[in-house]
Amino acid sequence: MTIPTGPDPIDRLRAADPIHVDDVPDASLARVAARIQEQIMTDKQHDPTVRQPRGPLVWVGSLAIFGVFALAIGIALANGFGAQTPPPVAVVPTPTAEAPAPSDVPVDSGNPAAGGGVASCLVYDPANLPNFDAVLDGTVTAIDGDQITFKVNEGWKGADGTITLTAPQVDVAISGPLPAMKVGERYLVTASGSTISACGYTLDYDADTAATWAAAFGS
Amino acid sequence: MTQTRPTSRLAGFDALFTAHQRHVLAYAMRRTRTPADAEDVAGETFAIAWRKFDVIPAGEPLPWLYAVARRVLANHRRGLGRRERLAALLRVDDVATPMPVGEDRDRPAFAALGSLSPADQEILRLVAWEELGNQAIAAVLGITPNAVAIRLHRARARFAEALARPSAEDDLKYPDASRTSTDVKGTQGAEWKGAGE
Repeated sequence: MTIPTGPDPIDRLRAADPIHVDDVPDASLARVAARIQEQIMTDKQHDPTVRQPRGPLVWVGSLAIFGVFALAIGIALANGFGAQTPPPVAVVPTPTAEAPAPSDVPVDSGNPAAGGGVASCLVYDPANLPNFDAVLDGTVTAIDGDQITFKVNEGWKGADGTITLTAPQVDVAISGPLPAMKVGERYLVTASGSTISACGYTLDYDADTAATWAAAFGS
Repeated sequence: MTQTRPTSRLAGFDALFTAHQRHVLAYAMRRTRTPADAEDVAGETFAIAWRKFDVIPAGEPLPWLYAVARRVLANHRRGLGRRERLAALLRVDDVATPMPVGEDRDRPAFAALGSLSPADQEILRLVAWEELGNQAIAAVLGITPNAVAIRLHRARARFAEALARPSAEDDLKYPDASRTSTDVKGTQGAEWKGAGE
């Protein structure tokens, strides 16, 4: 085999990447997200360890049974059956105000930017921040279409100096809301590739949250 | 604001999905013919990730996801083959929307890639498109990093040789490799020293 020398051929292949991560269509992402959400919900419905919420028909049935028992006891008492001996205490199963099934689906973490996302964006954990490609505290210096440039105040991962990121075509039903970004305002930002992540992982700046994010990177 | 450290399985998966959905879908789109196929592969990959969330390596989940996607893709291709054979019998045209065609694809590079074995193609794609290092590729392919280095060296040489052939486009053996390009990133990187590497 002849071994050619010169520029790395892999660079040429790299340049011919059919689709960059940032160019993945949002519509495709939304369809995948919807599919996963459906899968998760289906699994939860079939999870024997999870107590399911009772539907309205169950409650109607319970109330009907309760009513029949109560009526029977009332008739018996009215006919004097209980006058001679104290009747045994009828233990009638009464419907209790049972809480919905314990589930880790929407639990509000207090994240102000959280919203309904693929598998519930209501919960987030800063421990997951290192999974993103860029994590920073930044001030918006320019907005050009969907390109947002930040001066990086603190770059915990993949950001230094200034960074320009792409605002996603956010469908809040899929990935949760993003703060409405304005020039001069400060935000805590994550990005996957160079696309800003929603789902509660991009927030208006506040010092407490920034400290939590810093702690996630051990700083 | 105080955040509690314990993460529910759902929240952890949510973060995993948010961080890596683009990477996995891009992986699938680079290896399938239509967006719908890629969505199927990515969807099934994350469905498996949801079911097996507890065994996903916390520090480096992406190679694990790629490894799952690779197996899903193999199953998908087997199913596709059956569908195509059935469609041929029934004389049904494939009406699936193909990936968008770009004006700027490097056809000779795709042809050269397509002339290689599937194993060579995959290791080159993982380096060039998924931008993985040897350790991560080893996790994806289920081999040792040392084996990755050897295979990559050979695949790179074969790819360079195929590129150098004037009729690289005629050598296309694996049409799937001639996926169209919708985006061409700038070429960058160190000079390749070939055999002296």
